[in-house]
Order: sequence, then structure tokens, then C-alpha cells
Amino acid sequence: MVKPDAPVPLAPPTEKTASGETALKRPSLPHFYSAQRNIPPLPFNPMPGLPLFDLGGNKFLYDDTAVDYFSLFAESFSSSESEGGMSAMSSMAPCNPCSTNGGGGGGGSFYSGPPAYSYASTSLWVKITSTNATNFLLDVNNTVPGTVYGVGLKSSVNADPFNTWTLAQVFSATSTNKQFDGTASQAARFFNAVNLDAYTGPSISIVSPMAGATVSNDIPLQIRVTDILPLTGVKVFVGAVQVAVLQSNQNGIVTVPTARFPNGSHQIWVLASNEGVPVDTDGDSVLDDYSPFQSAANVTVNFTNEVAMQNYSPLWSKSGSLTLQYKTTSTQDYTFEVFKTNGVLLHTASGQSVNGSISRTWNFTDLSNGAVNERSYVFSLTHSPPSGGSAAAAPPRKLLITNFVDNGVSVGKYVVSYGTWPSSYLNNLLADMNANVSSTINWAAYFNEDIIGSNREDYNAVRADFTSDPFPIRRATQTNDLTALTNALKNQFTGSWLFDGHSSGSGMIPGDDDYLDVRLTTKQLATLLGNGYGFIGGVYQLTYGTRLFSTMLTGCSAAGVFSEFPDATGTPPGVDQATDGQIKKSAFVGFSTISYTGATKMNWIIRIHFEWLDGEDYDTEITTAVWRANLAYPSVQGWGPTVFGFGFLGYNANESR
Amino acid sequence: MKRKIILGALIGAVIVGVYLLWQKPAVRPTAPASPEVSASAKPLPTEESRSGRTKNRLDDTLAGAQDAEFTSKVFPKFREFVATLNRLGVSPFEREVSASECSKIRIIHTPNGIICPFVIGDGWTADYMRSGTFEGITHFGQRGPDNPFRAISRADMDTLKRLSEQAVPISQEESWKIANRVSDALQIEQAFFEKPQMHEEAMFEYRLGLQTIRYRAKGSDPLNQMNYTRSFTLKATSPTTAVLVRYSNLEAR
Repeated sequence: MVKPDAPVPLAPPTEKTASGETALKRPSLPHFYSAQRNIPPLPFNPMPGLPLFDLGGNKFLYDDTAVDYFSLFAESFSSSESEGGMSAMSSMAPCNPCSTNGGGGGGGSFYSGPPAYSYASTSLWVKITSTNATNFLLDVNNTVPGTVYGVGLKSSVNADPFNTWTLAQVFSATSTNKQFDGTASQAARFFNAVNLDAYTGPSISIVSPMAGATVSNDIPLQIRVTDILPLTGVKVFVGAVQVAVLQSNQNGIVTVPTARFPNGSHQIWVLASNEGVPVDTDGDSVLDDYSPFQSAANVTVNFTNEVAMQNYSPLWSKSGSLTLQYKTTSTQDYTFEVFKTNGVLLHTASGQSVNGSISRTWNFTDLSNGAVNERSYVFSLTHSPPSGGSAAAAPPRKLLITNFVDNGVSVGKYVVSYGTWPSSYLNNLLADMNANVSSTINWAAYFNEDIIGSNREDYNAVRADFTSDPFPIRRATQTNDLTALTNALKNQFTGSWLFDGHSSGSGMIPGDDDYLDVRLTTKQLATLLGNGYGFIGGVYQLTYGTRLFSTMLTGCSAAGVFSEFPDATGTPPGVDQATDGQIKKSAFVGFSTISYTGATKMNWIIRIHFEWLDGEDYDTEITTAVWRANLAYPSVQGWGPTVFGFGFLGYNANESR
Repeated sequence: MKRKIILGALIGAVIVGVYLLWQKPAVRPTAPASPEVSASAKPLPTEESRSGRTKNRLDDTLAGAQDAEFTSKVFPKFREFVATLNRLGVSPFEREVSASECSKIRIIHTPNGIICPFVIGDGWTADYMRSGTFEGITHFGQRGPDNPFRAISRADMDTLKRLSEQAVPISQEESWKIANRVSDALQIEQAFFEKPQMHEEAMFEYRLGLQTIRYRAKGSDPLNQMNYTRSFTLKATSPTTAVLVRYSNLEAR
């Protein structure tokens, strides 16, 4: 008698003989793939020798990649023949419990593939049945007619959240079971089924720390993410402040610097995004867009540190000086230091905490009192209990942070700042341009508040002519700011954007212009652009700050697949730079499929500059300029030239050009 | 009102005079308001520009209005294009345009043909293209200070104000009637495109009486502007009539 919830080994596939007797089918050679089952929590582990993975939703998976089924089968088959067809399962270590808890598996049994269990579950589960050495049947069980399901596969299982399932099949169930023929391959060993109608996005679980835990200093945060679609990003926040970005191959572990936040209860948030599914946006049955999914999970823990920052921000605006404040739970000696990111010491000060507080102000000067103007600095506070006591001196601890400083002055209600340039002409030009842009944004928001997004009311009031006073943008809110900016800059009538894609600090405009780079993945950029853009891979770099609106078209391979820092293309010969006010137009142009540096691309870019930037004679549109360049250099067409958007800045400041 | 009529008559006389003397095209929907953009404000192409070919720094060929290739290959196609617009009643030109009114003729050499942008009079520009599979006009539009797209892009309030004061409003319903005839005549195969989009060209409160129709290749990315391979803009001349003031064909290869 088999209990309803007890594991029941599946009967081996059988076929009828001519006499009608049930004969054992010659066993298959299932040495390619692993079974994945919908296994409810068990009172025991049926295969203790194999790694077990929790897929979420009461699904578990055994990783049997290390099991040599071929050899085991050969051994068991040999054994079954010599022992008159008795079960050979007992000879297989991973399945030892199977024989003791099995039973009910039908007549004589022998090993016919990966261990197979059924638990009479009413929920969705997958069964794999070998049919021969290279083929198998994949049954998706307990499907509900009319519901859409997906079958995912992956080649390996591990703790890396980025090793997501690949959606291999999507089907609308017509019965309670759907069967697929499969060809086993090393590349697709593991299978899973998902109810896509009930799918809401990545499934996130925070493994550690546990809720309510008390933690200090840098702590590992371990997370699990299960998804049927490729992940595009996993971010970690303390409260609203982003503290880490999980990369692939980190096995879901990132470090959270608790000492950057005041002691007390904090929520650690994990936000995961995937690339989404293709959708039809205009009802013509053509999938023309992507709709990404996002999920979040959080855990509340208590931060407790001897010394903790009170005013941590990833970005501080430069306003003559900045002050870093710390709280201490006991008296501490400290040394406060500021470094360039290359390690050069700029400032040092020592002292002792007063009434549980340390406050240090730095005025952006180096050890010689010379002004410094870096885009980011490293701030270090080394602290230890006062010496001289009877107890052994505790080793000093160091609280180290690297923060960006916004050197710019913001202009307009929602407009990113730009730096101060040595050219008054240029500064005036940029000021005028930003005033126009901010007016456009404010005007757009007047008609549609959604353009700006929520929680933007703290910005300055808009005047009757839609101008507004400057307001500094902050790193902590840059995503919202950029989203608002992007939406607003998308001219409501022309649909154009102002964007600038650059690649490196030594890119288009010479000099120390102190901007803040925001490196965005393609999907993030797509999000900013208000669309799940269908690029594959690659990282964009969007220059945020000085250059966002300040320069012109670049043919940077920002859309390239392989290049994280796309090569700078520089400025074509004959196109003057900012120092003489040649800022004219801006476009975001990239390649969707490849990153390439070479004469062809450069010529392509030069022609676009010529056609568009210098195209006064013909008032050439950017799309026409790119089209002409594509025809003149056909090899570029294979790279998928992409024009995201464009806008005129100053229109040919030098009309003689 | 009487003053306006007199002023209109004077402008009309000037235009007729210019036409008789120089045979330059006039623009039907809106006569240029500022002297610097009137048909007579700039000289005809000089003899120098009509002389032999030269090269620019991109190795394009620069030619004059009398260039044999231009007069025999390029301009006839433009004349055909304008004739098509005339047949539809949407030509912005009130009379026939001659090759001698063209300037800034540039021949871009492509691997299998040429692209030839050129300027017509002072206020218009066009691109001719010849390849192994296509020959014809791929772009047509306004240029110069009266170009509404330039005004929008620059947020040029003075120009926007001036253009909007001259603008005639037209409903999208009426615009679609005209647009459908234009798309048929220009052989825009609807089956290859997503449902076409129409939007009004305007900025702030300045409405310019312009409706742009864009065709995006079926299934293509809506974000990539290069996927809107066919588009044109209509400028209303009355609540039920319009002329074509911009056309773009990025499909041609």
C-alpha cells in the first residue's frame, strides 16, 4: 500500500509482446539529462548523495550531472540479467531509498533512467521519460486547460541567480497533460514548467541574513533568484539607497556595508529585473516590443556598529565643502583621510569623538591647500578605542567609502547639471540650452504629470513661462531623475530626445570636465527610454552631467555587445570642439549588433558629421544623414545602426561651416 | 483689411515679376514673410558654380546646375516627383521648377550608384538616388529659416510664432484622406508597415498646421528612428486641402 504522498517509482516503460504478456522493455541509456520533479517537502532525502536545489514554489531539483548513468545502467542490466530480472535499484547508491520506499512500481523493475518519482501532487510538475539513447518524452502534468504554460531549460544548476531558466516552449493547455518529444543533449539537461498566466516576475528569496538578525560591518547578503527569463539586473538597497549590484558568477552573494548607515533597524531590499517577454503593442499580432518584469524582496535587520555614518550618500554636490558625520557608541580615536581614487592623499585630520559624534569637513583642497576637482574621492575613517587603558588595544577599524561629487550646477527643474567651462560663450550657450530644455520639460509636465513621475514635488516652482530655478540632481535619485528627464525630453510632438552617448573620459571634449558617468546596461537604458529595448547584451555608457547635453553626435559603439566601454570615436577632422562653441546638435546613435573600431566606422561617423552637423545647406535630418552614410559604407549596415533620438542644440553656431 | 489687400497685391506683383524675370519657383502655401528668405533675396547660381566638377573633403563630387549627369539623370526624376505631387494636388510649387534653379549639387558615390542631394531655389532640398534596384527621389523637404522642423528643434520662438500665425488648421480626419492618396501615389505598401502614425508638428502653443505621417517597418523596433522608413508631412492650405512639404524614403537601397 502506498501512501498518497509517498514517493512511488514510476513503472518502467513497457510494451506488449505478441502473446499479450507484459515484457520488460530493453532499458534505455539515459545518460544525458536529469529529472526535475515537483516534490513536496519530504520527510527524507531520497538521494542524499546528490545536491538538492530549491526552485521555489515547492519545487526541488536534484543535480545528477555527476552520476554516470551509463555505467550504472550497464552494471544494473548485467545484474538484472544474471539475477533473473530482479530489481537492480539497490545497486545504485543515489537510489538506495527508492527500493525501500518504492513498491508499487509495477512488475519486475530495473533501472531505466534517472530516478523518477510521483507524489500524486495536484500542482504542476514535469516528468522525463527516456525513449532511447538520445530521445525522451517530457510530460508537463496537472495543466489546466486554457492556461498558458512555459517550459524552461538550463544546462547546469547552481546558486548563481543569473543562471536562469531559458524559456524553450510556450503552450496553451488543452488538457491536463502536455507531452513533448525531446532530444537529449548536454546543453539542456534540466527542465522546469511554469504557469505563465500566474507568472509575475523573478522569484527572489533572501537566504541570509535572517529577518531580525543583528549585523555589523560588512555583511554578506545571499539571495536566490529563480526565473524563467534571463535576468538583466539585481540591485541591493538599504532603504532607498543602492549599495550593491549583483553580478553574474557571484553565486548570489554581495556585501552590504552596514556601517554606512545609522545603527538601528533597516530594510535591505533586493530588486531583480528580467528582459521580459515580447508583446504586441498595437494589436496587429506582430510582437514589436518587450515588456520586462521586476520583483522585489526585503528583509529587516538591525545594524549595530561602533562607528556608523549618519549622512551617507552615493553623491554629494560640491558647494565649497562637504561634511561627513559619524556616530560612535563609545569614545573613539580617529583619523579621517580623503584620497583621490588613485590613492593620492588629499586631506588628513585626527581627533577623538565628542559626545558620541565625529564630524569632519573638507573643502576640496589638497595637502598644499590647492583646489582639487576630481569626479570622485575615497573617504576613510580609521578608528579605535583610546589607547592608554589597561585593556589591550583593539585593532583599528576602517570605514571606507568612495563617493562621487557632483561638480555641476543644475539648471532647470529637472535638468542635469553641467560644469563650468573656461569659455563664457559656451557657458552662456549651455545655460540657454538648459533653460530651453527645462522649459520643455516643465511644459510637458504641465500637460501630463506622469512624465515627471511621483515624488517630484520637492523641486522648485514653475513660473508662468515654464522656466524654473535650478535644482541639483542627486545620485540617489538619478534613476528617477533620468527617467523623468528622458520622458520629458521626448518631445511630445516630434518624438525626439536629447541624448549623448560617450565612451570614456578622454572622449569628445578635451579637458578636465569632471562629469559623472552612469554606466547602464542595455536594458536599463531601454527602461530609461521608456521601452523594453530588444538589444542583446552590452553596456551603454550614458554621460550624465557635464556632457549629457553638451556635445554632439557620436558614433560610439555604445550599443555593442562585447564592449563594456565602447571605444571612443573621437571627433572627426574639421569638426571643432566646445572651446570655440561648435556645439550644435546631439544624437544618440549606436550599433545594435557589434562593436567595431576601424576606418569604415570612422568614415561613417565623419560622413554623419558632415551630413548632419554641417548639413546646413540641406537641413539634413539625422535619419537621412545616417541613411546616406549607410549607403556610402554598406558594411556598417550589418552592425545595425540605431538612432535612438536626436535634437538640435545650438544650430550651427558657426554658420560659415 | 484694405492695407492687407494692398500689401498682398504688392507681394503678388513681386512674385509675378520674379517669376517672369527669373523663372524661380514660388511656394504655394505661405509666401516667405521676411525679405531675406524671399525668392528674390539670393542670387541665381553663379557661373562658377555651373562650371566643371570639383571635390569636397569627403570625396563627393560637387557639380553645377548645368552638369550633364544632373540635367539628364537626376533632375528628370525630381520633375517626375513634383508632377506626381501636382497630379494629387499636393505640390508646394505653383509652377514648374527648372534645373537651372538648382544649386549645391553634391554627388555621393556609393558602391552601386549615387546619392545626389541638391537645393531648389532657396527654400527646398531633395535627394536623388540611383542604385541597382532603385532610382528616384528619396528625400524632399524645406530648408533654411522657414523650415518648421528647424524652428521646432531650436525652439526658435520667433519663427514658430511667425509660422503658426500663417498656419491653417486641419483635422487629422481630413489629413488622413489626403495622406492615403499620397501614400498610394508614392507606392507605400501598407502591408509592409505597422499601422501608420500621424502626429501634429507643433511646439508649445505654436501649432503649425503640419501633420506628419510615419510608417514603421512591420515588426521593427519602434525606438530606432531608422525603422520609420517612409514618412511625409502635409501642410494645410485650407481645412480640407494640403501640400506635401516633406518626404523621406529610407527604404531605398
